[in-house]
Amino acid sequence: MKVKSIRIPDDMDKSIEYVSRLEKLEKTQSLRKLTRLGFEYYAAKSYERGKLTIRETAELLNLTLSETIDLLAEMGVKGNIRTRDVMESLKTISS
Amino acid sequence: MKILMDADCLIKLTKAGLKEQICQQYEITIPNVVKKEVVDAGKIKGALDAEIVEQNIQKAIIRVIGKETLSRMKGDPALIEIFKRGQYDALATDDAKLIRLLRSIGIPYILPGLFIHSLYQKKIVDKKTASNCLEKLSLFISEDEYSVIKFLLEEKS
Repeated sequence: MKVKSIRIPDDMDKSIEYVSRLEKLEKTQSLRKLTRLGFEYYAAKSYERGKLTIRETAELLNLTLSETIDLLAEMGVKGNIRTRDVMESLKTISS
Repeated sequence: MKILMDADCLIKLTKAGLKEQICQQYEITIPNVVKKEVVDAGKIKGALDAEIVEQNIQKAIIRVIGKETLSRMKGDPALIEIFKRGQYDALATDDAKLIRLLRSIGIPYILPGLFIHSLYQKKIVDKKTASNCLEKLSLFISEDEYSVIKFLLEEKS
């Protein structure tokens, strides 16, 4: 694990304090947890917008593909296919 | 119809319990890199779908290709290379970014939800079964994909 020195704004510090108190964690653990959750959200949104493939998302999150699909579903991101993609695929399967 | 299948499509169909039905109707092949991602990596973490896919491979329900020649290539490039080398009709995936790439190089693709529609159209499953299958898959596919397929199932009746 790397050691980093960072400046944290007051509102973010309050969030870390809040999670720390609520979950009975050390502040550093609370910060790590929130950072991970934030990154999972960021990756999920990038996937949802079609900026990442599921494979790239899994690699970024250091999870298997199966775990990534489950995590995304849990976060309400069930896929990233648009109507146009479905209609085009329909032509393939109908031909 | 000869289909090359990507990992996300394979995992989603497996999680929804639909893969066997689809494998009976289509000739499904996966690249060895996909096998590694789904079975080998999944088994280390105890994923149930990894065990199921491994059994399918052992029973030759799913064919694995590209063992030696493409072992150094990663998922998407290996998938495209194998598609170009083989006589496949389409590539099955549920990934928008990969689809953009496939579209740009003219590779036809099939979404997991459309397999259900196809089974219904071919009268292999009835409407109720198709709707149940779609509901199972709905946990893993986008709202757009779900809505269009639901509409198509309704439209036929």
